[in-house]
Amino acid sequence: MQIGSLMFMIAIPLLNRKGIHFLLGSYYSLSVGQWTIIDPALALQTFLLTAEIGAGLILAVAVPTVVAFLFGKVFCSWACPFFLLAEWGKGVRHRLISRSTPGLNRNSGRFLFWGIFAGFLILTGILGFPLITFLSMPGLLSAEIGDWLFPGPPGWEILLVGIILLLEIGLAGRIWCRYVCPVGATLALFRTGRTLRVKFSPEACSCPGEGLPCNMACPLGLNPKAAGIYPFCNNCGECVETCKRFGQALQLTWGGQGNNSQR
Amino acid sequence: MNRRYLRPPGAVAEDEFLKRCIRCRKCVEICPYYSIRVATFSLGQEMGTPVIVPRRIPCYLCLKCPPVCPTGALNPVANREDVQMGVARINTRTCLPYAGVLCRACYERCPIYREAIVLDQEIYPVVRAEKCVGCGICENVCPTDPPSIVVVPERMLKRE
Repeated sequence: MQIGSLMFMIAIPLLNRKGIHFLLGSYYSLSVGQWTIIDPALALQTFLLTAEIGAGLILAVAVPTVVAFLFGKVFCSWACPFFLLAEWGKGVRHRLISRSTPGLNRNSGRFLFWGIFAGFLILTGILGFPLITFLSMPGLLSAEIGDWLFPGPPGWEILLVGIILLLEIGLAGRIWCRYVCPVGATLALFRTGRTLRVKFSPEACSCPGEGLPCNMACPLGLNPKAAGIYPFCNNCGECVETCKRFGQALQLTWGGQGNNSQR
Repeated sequence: MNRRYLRPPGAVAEDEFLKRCIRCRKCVEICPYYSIRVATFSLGQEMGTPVIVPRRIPCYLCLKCPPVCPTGALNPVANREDVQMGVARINTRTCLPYAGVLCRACYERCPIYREAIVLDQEIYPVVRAEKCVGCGICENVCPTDPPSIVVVPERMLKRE
């Protein structure tokens, strides 16, 4: 799916070069025919910087907002090219440095998550600088791929992607997606009690103790059996898939009260 | 900051432009002449913004780019006469006709033909600033090197 998404990002500039402009843009803003989509994080940035919000902007964020409301941060797990790179980065880290010892993951850091996001928004407002543009990994990656294919060198910004990847390889896997990314945080704003979520039914769970398959499957290092996986979890479904081979205690559902009824 | 590149047609004032532009590259991708490139030469706010360097490829005023801008950094322009990307200036010390060599490269190619560039005494090209849209075609076709006619970008005109 993500490789498909990466191919999609490569395909757009190539089609555009051939004079086909049905698809246009990047993961900052994408057009399909006449329909324009803007990343809600960037719409928020435009609003912060210009203190204006037009009908066009609202229409353009409608689709991503509704998707985030219904399915959660699925953009991250299904489409974001950085998610894929970060997974590869984690693979490299495991091979080169350390394989994390199996244990229970912790779902802590919610305040850190929202704090970093609020910090970015405040900085954007104070500096009057489009910070989120440069912190959007999907946007940077797709735009720089476009620049590179549209003959022209990629800009210095691409180094940021490399730096973050190297930091993740060197320090800890998947910290960007879990705590920092403003694109994901904006999508997390639209989560309500009715949004798709991972539900855990303890009576069905057949894996006691540590080294749990679901914990090990989670790309972001969360514990789907415990409360508080949101706002981090992006409903990728890895834990649910893994659990199918065991007790089938994890499910993706809408609403309903589970034991880990987390918001 | 004083790099002499142009913004695409319909661009709002520079300060506002830097805030509105989300660097999505749509204008770059839709430009059929590859006139619009991405600024890759700096580490400042211009990073990722669309620029036109007319000596390389000027703007041919097809006006396809303003409507694709999702955030109003470029506003749609109805006629090409309404574009305001800058104003061309002639260096009469290097311009060939002023040195006695017959040349009508800029005059002939100017898309605002016989309005933005006129010939004084049928020989000397003169830019009429109020008609010039700043597309840079003249700068592109000027046979001297460096060009004797260059476009001063809109944002720099205001500073003067």
